[in-house]
Amino acid sequence: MLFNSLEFVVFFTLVLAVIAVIKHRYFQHLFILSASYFFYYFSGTYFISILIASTIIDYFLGKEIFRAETIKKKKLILTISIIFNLGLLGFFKYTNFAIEQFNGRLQNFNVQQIPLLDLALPVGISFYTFHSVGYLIDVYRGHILPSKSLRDYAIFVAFFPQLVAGPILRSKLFLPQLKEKFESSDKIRQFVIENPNLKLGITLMAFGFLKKMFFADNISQLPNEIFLNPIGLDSFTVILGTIAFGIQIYCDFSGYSDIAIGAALILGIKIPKNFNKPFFATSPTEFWRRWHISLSSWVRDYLYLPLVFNRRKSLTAVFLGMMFTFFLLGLWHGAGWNFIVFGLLHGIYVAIDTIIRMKFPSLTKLVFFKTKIGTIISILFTQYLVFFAFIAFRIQDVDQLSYSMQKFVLLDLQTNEVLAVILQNKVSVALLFLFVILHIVSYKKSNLIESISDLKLRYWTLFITLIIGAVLYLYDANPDDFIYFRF
Amino acid sequence: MNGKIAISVAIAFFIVFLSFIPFYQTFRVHNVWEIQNDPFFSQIAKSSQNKIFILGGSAVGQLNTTDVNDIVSKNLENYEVFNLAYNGDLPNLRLQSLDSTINAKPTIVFYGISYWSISDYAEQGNTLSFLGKNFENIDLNSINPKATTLNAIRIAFGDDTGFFPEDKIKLKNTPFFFFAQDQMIIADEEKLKKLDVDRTMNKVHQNPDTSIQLQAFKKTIEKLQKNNIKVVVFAVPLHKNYLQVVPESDKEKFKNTLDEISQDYDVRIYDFTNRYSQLDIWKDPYHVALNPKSNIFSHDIAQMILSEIES
Repeated sequence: MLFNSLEFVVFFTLVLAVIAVIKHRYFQHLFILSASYFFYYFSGTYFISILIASTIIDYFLGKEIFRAETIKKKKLILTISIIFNLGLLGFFKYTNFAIEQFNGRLQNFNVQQIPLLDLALPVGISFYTFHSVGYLIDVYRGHILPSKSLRDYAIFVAFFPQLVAGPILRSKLFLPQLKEKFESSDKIRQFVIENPNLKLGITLMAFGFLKKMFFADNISQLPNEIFLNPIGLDSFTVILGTIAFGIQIYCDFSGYSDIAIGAALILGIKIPKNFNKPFFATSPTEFWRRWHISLSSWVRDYLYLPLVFNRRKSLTAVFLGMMFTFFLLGLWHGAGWNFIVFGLLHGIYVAIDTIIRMKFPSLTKLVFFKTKIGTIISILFTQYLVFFAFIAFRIQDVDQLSYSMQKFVLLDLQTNEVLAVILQNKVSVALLFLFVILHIVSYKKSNLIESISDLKLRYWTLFITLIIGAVLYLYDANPDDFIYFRF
Repeated sequence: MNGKIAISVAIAFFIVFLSFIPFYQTFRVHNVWEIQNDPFFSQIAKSSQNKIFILGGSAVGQLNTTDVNDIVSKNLENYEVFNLAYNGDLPNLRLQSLDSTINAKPTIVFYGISYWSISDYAEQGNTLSFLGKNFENIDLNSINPKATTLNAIRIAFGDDTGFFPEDKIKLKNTPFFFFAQDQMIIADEEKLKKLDVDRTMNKVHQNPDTSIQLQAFKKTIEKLQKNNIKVVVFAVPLHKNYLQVVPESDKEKFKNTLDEISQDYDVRIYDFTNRYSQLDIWKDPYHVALNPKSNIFSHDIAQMILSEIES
């Protein structure tokens, strides 16, 4: 079930109506769980069995880790549980990729090729696997107690707003919210639709729909056209396509995250933000603090820090740790060499950035970088690197990828093609400009969404009307899927 | 307070959707197949000439009708060729203007099709009849708010040519098809490789047992024959890159369907599918360019017309 579909609007309205009617917390939780499974079934049909099975197994493994008396035993159970979860993810996501690589190597030896498996990727498996693994590691580390209730744990894994494309939830932030007590009494709170949450949640969702359906879906034709076969295109056309794709994927994914966070907030569940104006990052490291925050903080806490913790002063360890972390982060996005290139590029960026900061700490304190011009130069340089890496995210074909990257770096200064592309895609180009203006406005006014949701009801209604109008009037009859649904 | 917020959101939706209805009715882009009321048909009906109609989609539209007409009229007195192709033609869409076509009294109709024409790739959806009489003719699937808005912007900026921008060229006797500059350029090998393989395979998938388009196609032939109009079917040419993508099973099914139609309706079939697949005459993998170097297509169509009229 896509957020940008009529089915979701009907589904979500019905969920809110039923939640408002049910007063008993136990039944509310059961209903939310059922609704989440229904939502997932609608998106992924029989894959729901894998979701339920892995939820049950992880729930009991979490308990076993907690109960184990020795560290050795805890570690053994944790290892088994990680192998189980990542094995399941790896099987569905990477088996055919591995077979293809294997067949490619064997081609020269005249050996019979291994047939590809008829596998479909279960919707959201990359996200809920990380929920579960994070939970199990937190239990192992003693950061949280294992969930006492299978129902609560199942809601944590399957909570429908974030189930299929994140943000990746942390158990220590989510599970306590199901057990929170009312300030005024000892009663455990229910899913309560409260006025401030409702208004802020709707505003967030409205912004999410605006980003996805107004910007991303209408900008997408530009990169789609340019990258269908970029070989032969001039540098400026490739750069235009790359900028358009970077903005498209940001609007697409952060739009999805906003809808998810808004929907959860309306139900009274707070999920931290997943994007924080990443195009204003002044360094690659800062970019990852602003882009897909739930994923980057997850890999930092559960992968990178454990890898280098004891050798964090060693430049080699930091570099290798970064490269390995970002290699996996790239691979997480999809089974393809282009995603590995995407990950490794960011690995190089962040590793070099980190090493420079470690080796020359005085550099970061230079007054120049605090000035307006210094900040602008830092932003532009960072975004040049970031958008360069987006090419790898977008193009799978190796020849097309290397051609486009070459054109992005070595400018040929030809303009004929790019002018024709702009003339043919005036609306997309106009929306790119509009996006940049609005992005700057939202950067200058950091709490824009909160300010809008605090408006008087009539002004707020006017604002919501404008957003719905913008979305409807530029709604294409054939909308694109959310890009992160593939992951 | 929650109730007030919910009502506010409902009002916002209501205002937006309510405002969209008159906007859509004013600025909607008329579908290219909505030609049934075009004055072309009534004007042409008065002509005493023998009329030859060519029907089909953009692949047929790319014909140089002027050349075809010249060749035919040089060899046959009192005959005139009209190319009634429009972009995205499908048999069930063509049915909507078939009465107008018949009333224009053609002597013979040539219908150009290909794999996608009878594959059910593009089915027509439901109508908004549940909203009442005023909406009965609005096809839900055809409502495209974005296209409507873009049309409104175009009109606001003084371009009142609607669907067809001013920079497009129109050939004589081709009332429903317009040419942009790029339709006249022969593409190089790199451009001819630009093909969305998955979409193409989906588009050409043949399912003759359930195909709504095939039923509509047969109905079109029956109706024309009932009105004593001779029908000839031809399969439009395709580039080798396109043909590589079409699965062999679909090629086989398509060929069988054409054979069946030929037998059941006593219709002559001309198959141009592979004829120019290796030649350098293409605008893209499924359209011959409108270019002097590509005239072989128009000349062969003219020869087909001559042999059918003379037979």
